[in-house]
Amino acid sequence: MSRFFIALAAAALTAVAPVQALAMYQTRSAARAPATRIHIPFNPPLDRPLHYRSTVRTQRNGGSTAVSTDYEIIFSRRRDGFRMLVHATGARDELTGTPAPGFLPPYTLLLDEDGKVEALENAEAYWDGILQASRPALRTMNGGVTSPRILNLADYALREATPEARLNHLTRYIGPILDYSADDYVLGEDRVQVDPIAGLMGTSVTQRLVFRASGSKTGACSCRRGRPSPETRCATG
Amino acid sequence: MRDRLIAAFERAPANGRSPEERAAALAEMRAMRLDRSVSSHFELSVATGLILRLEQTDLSRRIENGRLRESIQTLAIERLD
Repeated sequence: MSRFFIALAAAALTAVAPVQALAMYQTRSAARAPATRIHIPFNPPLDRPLHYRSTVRTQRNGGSTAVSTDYEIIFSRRRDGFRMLVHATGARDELTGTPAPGFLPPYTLLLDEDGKVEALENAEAYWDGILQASRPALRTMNGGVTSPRILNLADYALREATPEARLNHLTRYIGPILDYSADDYVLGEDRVQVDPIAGLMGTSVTQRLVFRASGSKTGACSCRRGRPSPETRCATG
Repeated sequence: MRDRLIAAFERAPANGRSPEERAAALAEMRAMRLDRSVSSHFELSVATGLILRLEQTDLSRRIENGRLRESIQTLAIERLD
């Protein structure tokens, strides 16, 4: 559970909580022809476990941390979309090789037909559990947080966050596996993407990014998102 | 964003915070400037739409108590099976 709360402490300090997005798209004209178009469906394997590893490395104020978490994910059908069970099965400190203490309890995301997250199943009960665990977890994790100011801010951020902001924070390290499906891409064409993202503490961040699918090989599409020009630079709003 | 953060903080209950601590926190927020940039490179499955590999770098710079604070967070996601 610690990485969630480390992120929470960081969010309480910087009020930045990215990840899931409501996306609007604009397309730059591409004069070159012929264009190679790729359709990416949302078509996950159903009712069997998929395994992912998510690693977060952070450098801040001269210090470094690195934590990996293994996830077991099972997609299943529901009437108007999918259910996505997310179970963090283990975590470890990448710098020391030791197991990291605790991780989030399993949760289930409700997805629409395109794989976009609509809600957290049993959200109130799940979040109540997070609220109960947050302060003890922050106090006891490695290098435990003791500052009353940070603890109070973290507590307030969790209690007052909107359902959307809670989802964004909860899924920030595994949610990206869903973000790029159910879409059409043109190889080599830049597409400007504007993402308003709800954060904790009533904040929001507007990200302006350029997306480019640069090549494909058997069964996979290679893509890049970035900020190649000043006018598309990520900005706070 | 900074203004929203300040407004949210001002609405928050004190929760044991002394007036001095609260004033210091507010001053810190008012002095904050934030600049973030995110870039990512990823490979996704044409058949399923799910990410096979992703590397995302998030560079954040902010001014805190008159000093530049910089953090770099790299997120790597890989499908194991």
